[in-house]
Parts: sequence; structure tokens; C-alpha cells
Amino acid sequence: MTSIDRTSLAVLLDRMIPGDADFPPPSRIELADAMVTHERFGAMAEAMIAALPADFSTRPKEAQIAVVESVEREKAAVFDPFVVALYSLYYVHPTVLAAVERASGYAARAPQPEGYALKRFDPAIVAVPASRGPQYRDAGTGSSS
Amino acid sequence: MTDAIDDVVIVGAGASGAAVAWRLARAGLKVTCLEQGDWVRYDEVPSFRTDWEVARQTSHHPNPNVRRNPVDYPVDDSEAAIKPFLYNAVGGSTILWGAHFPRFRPSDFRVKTLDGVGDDWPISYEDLAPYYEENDRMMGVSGLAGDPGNPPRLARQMPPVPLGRGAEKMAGAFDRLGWHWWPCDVAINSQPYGEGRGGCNNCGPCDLGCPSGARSSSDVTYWPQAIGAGAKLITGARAFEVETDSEGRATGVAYYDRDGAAQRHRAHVVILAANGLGTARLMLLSQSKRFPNGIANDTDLVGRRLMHHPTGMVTGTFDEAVDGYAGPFAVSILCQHFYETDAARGFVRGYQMQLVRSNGPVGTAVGGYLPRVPWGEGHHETFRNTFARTASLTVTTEDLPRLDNRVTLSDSLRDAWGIPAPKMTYSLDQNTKEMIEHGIKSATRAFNEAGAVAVTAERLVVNAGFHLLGTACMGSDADASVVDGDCRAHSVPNLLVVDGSVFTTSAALNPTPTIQAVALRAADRLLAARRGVEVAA
Repeated sequence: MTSIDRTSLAVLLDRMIPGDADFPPPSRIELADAMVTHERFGAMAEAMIAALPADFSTRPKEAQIAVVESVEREKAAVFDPFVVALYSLYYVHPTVLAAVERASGYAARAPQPEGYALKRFDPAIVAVPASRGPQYRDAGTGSSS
Repeated sequence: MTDAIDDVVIVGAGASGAAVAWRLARAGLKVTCLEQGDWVRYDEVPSFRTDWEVARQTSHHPNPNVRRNPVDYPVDDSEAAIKPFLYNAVGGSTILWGAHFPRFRPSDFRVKTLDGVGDDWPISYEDLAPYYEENDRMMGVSGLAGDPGNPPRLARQMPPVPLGRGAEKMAGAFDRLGWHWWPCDVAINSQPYGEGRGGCNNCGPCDLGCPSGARSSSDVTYWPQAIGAGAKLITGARAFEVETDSEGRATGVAYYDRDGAAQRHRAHVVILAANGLGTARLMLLSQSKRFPNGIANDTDLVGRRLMHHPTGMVTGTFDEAVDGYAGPFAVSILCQHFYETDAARGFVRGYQMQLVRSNGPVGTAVGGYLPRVPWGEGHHETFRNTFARTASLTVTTEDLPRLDNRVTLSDSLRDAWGIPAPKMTYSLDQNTKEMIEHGIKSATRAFNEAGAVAVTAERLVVNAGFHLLGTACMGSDADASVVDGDCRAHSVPNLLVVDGSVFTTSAALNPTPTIQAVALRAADRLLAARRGVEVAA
């Protein structure tokens, strides 16, 4: 991928996930570099860049958005895997996970080995359904309701 | 080629292959199993990493066409409305399953008699009941006795897994609506159970492999005991033909080893356990003068009657966190209120609604239960309003068998060793579509009752081909089925099929307990009839 293509990719990523007060734009966490060097996702970035006009990065913002909408509409086979690649890399970045934790309480760590504490099952919750009679159908083979 | 001769050679080390290997080895038979994949290394599973959700989209994706690992075979799904989900490893697809473990209902085996559709199974719920029990003990089941929706049975080995806040909301809604619900039976340890298997710590992504062994899979349940009883397991073995003699009796299995060298494993009995896709593929590949269209395929039924569980997905978003990323992702509670046929609904048979939890950040953003979070200016707001605040109900329907839904050999696609890939041709019928629509209305009503602030429906989950059933169907009539009630091929006396291929109908429930119970019963029937089984000279 040329340096021009990398510039286009970085601009594209920021158009697709603009930063806000909580979440960084992809350019701040160097997501374009992570994507082009990724074993699986690099090819998706290449395909997406190939679907964009060469002057994408220098077009006005509204025109860039229109281009992306067009690719989404007309080249789903390129666009859909690219979005999976973008969202996958963005939402596992430590900076973004930290933002998710601040916003939701979700722990910015791996699921294992700690797991999560949940309230144990309380049998009292089935009082209503347990009070009903059998609700399965007589099959005529020995187990009948 | 080598010339080992065993009593039994099994193809596939997943749910059914493991069960049948254990049973036969324990009875003293010389058993070898050929498995295309390898053992899973649980110290390397992605859930130990913060980028675990990338693995879900790549190396651990359930679709082999996306995953593209070296041990996988591709699937031609160009004409399939539902895409294939399966895994190649010791343990098979139990490596990535959600471990929902319901039994079929008695009526599921009698759909022709009761509803005039499909076919009756040649065996009944009562025939399988003791094997369900034995399989529960081997796999380990957490659940609760007393479900009014199913016949009485022995207590489960462990109490239910935690329900979570989403399920508690939905349970209350079901109660107010007067609908059936019950905690799911799950093959997940709610407390330590089995040799070296710990209790679930609610980490969430069961589908990435469970490092504590709490989430059951046949590599940590059946296989250690099967090997202890003398069964031999050969990994990296890519079967490409069931070989036969001039009389059409099975003589063994030809396979490529991990170096690509052709090998032959001879045995008196051949058992296929490679799932509804892989088994049909191997049978169709096994052409001979006696069986020019594939082994045991005189009736042209091998590969036909492919059934999935076509699934709609309804997701409710709440105005508070329900933390659905915590807890086993696929299981909490189950509603079977619409399971049996009711003529007033405008379709035959029925559906289950299974409450699944939610996703991590990536899964939320890329969509699945909900549509993909839109890119652009509103992206973060949508994400914030969604993440950790949703729960979803599957609308899992009974798929009735149709001859046009089938597995064939692909003309254009081959695996890494040049073996033709299986091709799935599959579409939904009107009955199924109407069932899904009804289910979406039901689930929407339940979420509204539970107080959801938004409800979204996906009419068909395309990436849901995890139950591959019916492609070598069981029946009493040799002209209308491939195997008999004991899983023996009508036209090849020493060939058994023991995976989901043999399902006569699909029910509307997750099939693994029934697959394994059928396999255990087939093993017992083989042992009982062994002296009378006609084998190759």
C-alpha cells in the first residue's frame, strides 16, 4: 500500500468512526497501520482502498461520506468485511476498551481467567411455571401429558 | 498405505464419534477414530487475550469459509440461504458450541402421525430416554427438574447456571403473559463436575473454547475415557473414501494423513460421525461399481433432506445495563409455549424461544443479534445506547425435510488435498417463514412486556447453520431412508451413521443430546447384534 493509500485509509477510518468526548478517532490510535499490517484484515483494507477514488483524501468531508455510502450500497462484498475489520481492531484497542469501561462499567480486560461474578440461580424464580401442569403433547408412545 | 485391521473405524471425533468410541472401546472392541482436526490447546484459547473478539471474526469464526484454518474444508454455500457453522478438531463442533442441552419432546419423534408432515422416526423418546440419561452423566448437565414442558426425568447433575438480569426480566414477562418458560438445560458446569473440569466463571465466550473445561465438549468428557478404555485416535486424518468389497460391504476408510500421504484403515465395521455435511460428503465420495452414486445411496437419499433450524432473532434494548456480556453467551432460559402444533396459528409444528445474552464491544458493533452499529457521526451514541443493555430471543423453528434441500459434491471447490468440497443447496419453505413471523411477534410482545425501550427483529439469521441434520435419514422403509433405527445402512450391513445425518425430522431444539443418545444406542445395538453383522471377508 502506498503512502497515498495509507493517507486515504486514515482519513476513511476517521470518517467512519469520528471521535467524541469519550472515544478517540482511529487516527489517534494509529488504527490504519494496525489494519494494513494485520494478517487477515490487511487484504480487506487493500480491497476497500481500491474501491475508493484516488483523490478521496482531498475531497470535502461531505463528498467523502457520499463515496463511502456509495461503496456500502454498491460493493457490499468489499464494504462489509472491511467494516468487520475496522470495528474489530477499533474495539479491542486498549484506549477504546478503557473508554468502553468508563461508559458502561465493562471491564477493560480479557474474559479469562477472572470471568464475572453473577448472582446464583434462585429456585424461587420458577414458582409460576412450576405450578402449571404438564404442557407437552401426548405422543402415544408412553410419555403423556 | 497401511493395513491395520480393527473391529471398528470411526470417522469424526465430535459429539457422536466420541460417544460411540467410548461405548465400544469400553465393551472391549478394538476402535480407531480418524479426525481431520487436532486437539485444542486450552492454554492458548483467545479468551485469555484482550483481543479475543478479533479471534471470533477470524481464526475462531464458526464458518469454515471465513475461518479458513489449515485443517478446515471449504463449503460451497453459493446456493444456501443459511451458511454452515462447524469446527474441525477433536471434539468437533462442541469446541465452539453454546452447550444448550435440551432433549427432544416425545412428539418430535411422531410428526407424521400427529401432524401429517415429515416422517415418524423408527425409534421413540422412550427408546432414547436411558441414553439421554447416560449422556447427561458423561457430559454433565446443569438444570432444574420439574419442567412442565417436558416428561419427568432424573435430576440434573448440577443446579442451573446464573440467569443474569436480562433473563430475570424476561422470566417475569413470560409469567405475566402466562407463557411457559424454564431454565435451560446446559452442558456447562455450574460447579465442578467430571475429571479435572472446573465450574463456570461466567466469562462469556464459550465459543472460543473453555479453558477450565466447565463448558462441556467431547474432547474433555468422552475422549479421555475412551482412550483410557483403549480407543485409538488419529488426528490430521482427512477421510476421502469408505472402501467396499465386491459385495458392497465396507472394508475400511481411506484417508490422507497430515503429510498428504494416502492411508487405509481397515475394519470390520465403519461408523460415520462427521456431521450432516461431512458424512454426506464422504458417502457421496465413496463411489464404486456397486454404489456408483455413493455408498448406501441406492435410493438417492444420501445428502437430501438437509435440515437446519431456521432462526429469527429478536433483540430488546433496555434503558439500563443488563450486562449480557457476562455468563454463558447462548443459554439462560427457554420458552416452549409455541412448541406444539396449533392449527389456529396457520402453520404446522412450532418453535422455541431461547434467551441469549449479548456480546462484547466488537460483537455489538459488527452486529449479529442487532444490526451493525452504523458508521459515521452517530456511531458512538448508538453504541453507548446498545452495549450491555440488550438481550435476545431466538425464534428457533422446526425445519421439515424436503428433497431439494441437500448436500452434493461441489463442481468448483476442493479442499487443500484436492477432495471435492460439499455443496449446500438450501431454501426455506412457506411454513417456516410463517413460523418465524409468528415467533417474531411473540418475542416482540415478550420484550415489550419486559419493558424494553426498543425491539429489533432479524427475520433470518443467515449465519446459523450450526445444526446440520437429515442427510442420511433414519427410517424403517429401506426405499425411503438410508439407515435403519439402529443407524445401520440398509444396503451396507456393516456401515453405521451416528451423527445428525440420521435425523428423520429436526424438532425445534438444539440436537446434540439427541445426536449423542442416538449414537450411544446405536453402539449398544451394534454390540448386541455384533455376531450377526455381516462383515467383509
